[in-house]
Amino acid sequence: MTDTLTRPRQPSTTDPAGHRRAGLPVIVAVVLVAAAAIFPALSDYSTTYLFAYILIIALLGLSLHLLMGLMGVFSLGQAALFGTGAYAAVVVTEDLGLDGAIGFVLVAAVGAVLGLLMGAVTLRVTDLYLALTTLAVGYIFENVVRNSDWLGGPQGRSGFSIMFFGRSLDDPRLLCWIGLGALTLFLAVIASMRRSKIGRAFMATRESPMAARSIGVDARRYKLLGFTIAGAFSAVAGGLYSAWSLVVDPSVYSIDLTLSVLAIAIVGGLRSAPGILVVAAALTYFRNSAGDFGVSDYVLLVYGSLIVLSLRFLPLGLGGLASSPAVVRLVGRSGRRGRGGAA
Amino acid sequence: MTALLEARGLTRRWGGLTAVDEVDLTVHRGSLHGLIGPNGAGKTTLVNMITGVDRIDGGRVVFQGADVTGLAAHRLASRGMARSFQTSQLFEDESVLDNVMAGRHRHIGYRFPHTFFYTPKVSREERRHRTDVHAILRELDLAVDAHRQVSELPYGRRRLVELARAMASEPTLLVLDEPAAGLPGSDVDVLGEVLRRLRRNGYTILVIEHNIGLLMTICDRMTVLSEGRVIADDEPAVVRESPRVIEAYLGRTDDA
Amino acid sequence: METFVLLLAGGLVTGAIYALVAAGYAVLYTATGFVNFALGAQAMVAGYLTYAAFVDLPVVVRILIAVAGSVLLSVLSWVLIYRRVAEKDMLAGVIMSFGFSIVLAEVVQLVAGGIPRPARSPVGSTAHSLGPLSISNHSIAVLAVSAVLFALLGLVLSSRGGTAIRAMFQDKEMAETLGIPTHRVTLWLFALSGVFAGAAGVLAAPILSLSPHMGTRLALIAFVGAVLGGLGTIRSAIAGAVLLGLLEAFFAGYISSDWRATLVFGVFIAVLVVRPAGVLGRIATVKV
Ligand SMILES: Nc1ncnc2c1ncn2[C@@H]1O[C@H](COP(=O)(O)OP(=O)(O)OP(=O)(O)O)[C@@H](O)[C@H]1O
Ligand SMILES: [Mg+2]
Repeated sequence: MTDTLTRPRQPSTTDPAGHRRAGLPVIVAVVLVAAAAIFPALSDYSTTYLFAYILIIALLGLSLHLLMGLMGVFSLGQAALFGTGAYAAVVVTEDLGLDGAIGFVLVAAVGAVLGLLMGAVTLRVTDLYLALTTLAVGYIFENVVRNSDWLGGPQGRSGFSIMFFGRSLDDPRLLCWIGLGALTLFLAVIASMRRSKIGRAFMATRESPMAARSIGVDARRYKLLGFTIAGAFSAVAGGLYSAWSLVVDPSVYSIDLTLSVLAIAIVGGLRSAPGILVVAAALTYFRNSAGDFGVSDYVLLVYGSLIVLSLRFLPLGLGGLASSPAVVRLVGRSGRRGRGGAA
Repeated sequence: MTALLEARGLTRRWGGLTAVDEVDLTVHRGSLHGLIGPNGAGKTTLVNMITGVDRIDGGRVVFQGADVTGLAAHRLASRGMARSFQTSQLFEDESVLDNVMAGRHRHIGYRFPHTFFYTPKVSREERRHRTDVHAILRELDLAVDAHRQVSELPYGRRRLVELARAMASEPTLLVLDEPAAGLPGSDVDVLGEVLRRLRRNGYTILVIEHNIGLLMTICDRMTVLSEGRVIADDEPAVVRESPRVIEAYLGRTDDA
Repeated sequence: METFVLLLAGGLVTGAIYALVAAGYAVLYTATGFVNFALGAQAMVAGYLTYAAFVDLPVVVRILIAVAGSVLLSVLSWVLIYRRVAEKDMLAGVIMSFGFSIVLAEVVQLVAGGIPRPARSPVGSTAHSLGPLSISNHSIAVLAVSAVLFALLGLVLSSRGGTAIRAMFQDKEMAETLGIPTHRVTLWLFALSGVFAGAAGVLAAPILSLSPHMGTRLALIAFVGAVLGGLGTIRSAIAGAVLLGLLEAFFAGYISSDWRATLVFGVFIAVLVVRPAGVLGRIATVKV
C-alpha cells in the first residue's frame, strides 16, 4: 500500500457521474488542442522551437503520470526509454531509410517492447527497488551506447535528417504538430483508461494489491500493460528529441532528464495530467531561458529543491492544490448537482 | 446438498507454530456457513489459504468440483470466489461507487483496444454495470453515499462498502472475514438481515465471526476452530451444546 | 598471480568504501525502513570539507569537521526535511532524499565550482611492496579505518541499543509500548549513518578525486552493493558492498573496464530478479 505517494482528499480517478459530465472537459480539451495546433503557425521560429521541446517533455511527464500517479509504480526508467527512442529514431530513419510516418510507429514499438521488458524484470520488486532497477537499465544502456561504434560511441551521431511524410522534421512547426498529435493521443488513451476497467484495475493495484487480486485483477498483467504504453510514448518523445536536437549522444540517457521529469511530475501533481502539462511548460520555459536571465547554474538546484519542497509542503502537487476542498467548494457547486442527478 | 467448497487437510505453518493444522471444511451450495474460534485460532489463515491470498503448506482445496489448490487469488476470484478482509482493504481515496465498480472487474467484457479509446461499446457496458452497482448499493442502503470518498465514511459504513465490493463480483462463494467486527449493535442487526437475504437469494456464504449470537441465528452450519484444529462441525444448535466448544470458546467469551 | 593480488587489494579498498556507505544505509534501513539516498552526497560534502574548505587547519581538525558536518546534515535533514513526510509515506521520503542529494551537489558546485579536483591523502600515497603486493599508505588507511569502524558498529549493535533497533524494525508500535524511545533511537541512527558517510567521503576523495556529483554515483553503487548482500541485515549489506568492489576490480582487470557500469547494474538487476532479499539475506516475511 505504500506505492502511492500521497492520498488526495478528493476522488481523483473516474468521474463518478459518468457520461453526463463528460461533455465539458472534452470540449475544453478539444479547444485547447485546436489552439495549440494553430499556435506554431502563428508564432516565430524560436517560440515554435521551444514549444516543440515542451511537448516532448510533456510526453515524458505524462508517462510518469501513468506510471506513478495512476499505477502507483515509482519508475526512474524514463531516461532509458527516452534515450532508446532517440537512438531508435535515427537508426530507423537514417540506417533503414524509412519515412517517419512508419519509422515512428517502429520507434513506439521498440519503446513498447523495452517497457514491457522493464515491467517484466521488475515484476517481483516494488517501491525503491523498482525505481533503482529501472534507473539501472538507463545506466546500462548508456554504457552500451558509449561503447558501440555503430551508434557513434561517446560522440553519438549527428548530421542525420528525419523525414515525415517526405518533409524534413527540421521544421519546428511540423515537429510541433507531430508532438501534439502524440500528446493528444496519449491524453485520450489515459483519459479513456481512467474511466474504464483498466483504470480501476490500476487504482485497485495501487491502493491495495491484495484486494485487487481478490476481485480478480491480475496485477502483473496490468503492470506490464502500463509499462508497455508508457514505454511506447516515452520512446516517441525520444525520437522527436532526435529530430529536435539534430544530435543524439549518450547524454540522452543522463540522470538530468530523469530528474527534471520527476520534478515536473511531482510539482504538477502525479495524479493530475493538467497539472503536469502546466508545470512541464513552465519549467521547460524556465530551463530554456535560464541563460537569458543568467541563472543557468541554478537550474538543477531549482529542480532538486522543487522535489524536496513540493513533497514537503504540497504533496499532491499543483494539480492536487486545484482539487483541494476550498477550491472545489468554490467551483464545484454545479458539478455536485450534476452528480446528484446521475445517482 | 452438494458441496461447493471442500478443503481437506489444509495446513499452514509459521516457523514453529502450526497456525492451521490438517483442517477439513465443507461448504454446501446455498448454505450460510459460520467459522468461529478464539483469537488466533487460525480462521483468517485458513480463509487466506482457501482464497489464494496465502501459501498452502499442505492439503487440498476443491471448488466447484475442480482442484484449485495453490491457484493465485485473482484466478480464484475469476472462478467466483469473493471475499472481504478483516482489516479494511478498501480503496480509501476513491468514491464508494468506484470501489464497488472495481468489484465488477471479472464481469466487464470489453477488451484492451476498446478501453484505449472509450468506444461506444465501453460506454454502453460501463453504464450497464453502473446500474447494477447502484442496485447493490441500494440494497445495502449505501446509495446516498455513492459519490462520497470512502475515507470520509464512518467505520460501519465502510464495512458495508467492503461487503458491497465483494457482492459486486456476483460470487459463487462469498467469504467474509469478521464483517461485524466493531459495528454498533444496530448495524449488526442490519448486517444479519443482509446476510440472510443474500442466502435466500441463492448466495453461498462462509463467514468468520466473533459475534456468536449473530451466527447462531443465521447460520445453517458452523465450524469451530481452536489452535488450528477443527473441534466441532455441525448445526448451530448442536455446536452450542458441544462440551469441547464450550470449554475452548464459549466458556471464555460467554460473559462478553 | 601478481595482477590477481593487486586486483584483490584494489577491490577490497573500493569495496571498503562502498561498504561504509552501505553500512550507513543498512543502519537506517534495518531500524526504520528508510533509505537515505543523500548519504552519498553527505560523503561528497565531507570530502570537500576535508580537502577543499579549511586548508589552513591541521588535517585532524579538518577530518573532525567533515565527519561532524556529515552527522549534522544527516540528523538535520531527517528532522527538518524527511521525517514528517516519511512517517506518512516512506517512499515519498526516499524520493525527497534523492532530491536533497541533488540540492547538496548543486550547492557545492556553486560554491566550489564543478571542475573535479584532486585530493591528497593525509597519510600520503607512498607505496609499499610486500612480495607481489604493492599497496599505498592511503589504501592501508582505508582498510584499517573501515575495519575499526565496522568493529565499533558491531559492538554498538550487540549492546542493548542493538536489541532496540531490531525490535523497532520488527514492529515499531510494539517497540514503543516496550518503552523504547523510537524517536531518539532514530536520531542516533541518523547520526551514526552520518559518521559512516563522512568517513566514506574522507577516504574516497583521494581515490575518486573531488567532484560535486561523485556522491550520486557513490550512493547508487553502494546501494547496489547493499542490495547484492541484502539490505535487511547490516552484516550482509557490508559483505555485499565489499563483494561488489571485488567483482568490479576483477572485471575491470581481467575483462574490460569500459563495461564496468553494465556489470555493476547488470548484477543489480539480476540479483533483484532472482533473489530480491539479496544473495546473503533472508527473505523477510510480510504479514497480511
Ligand atoms: N504472517 C504471519 N506470520 C507469523 N505468524 C502469523 C502470521 N499470520 C498469522 N500468524 C499466526 O497464526 C495464528 C493464527 O492467526 P489468524 O490470524 O489466522 O487467527 P484468527 O483466528 O483469524 O484470529 P482473530 O480472531 O484474532 O482474527 C496466530 O497465532 C498468528 O499469530
Ligand atoms: Mg482473523
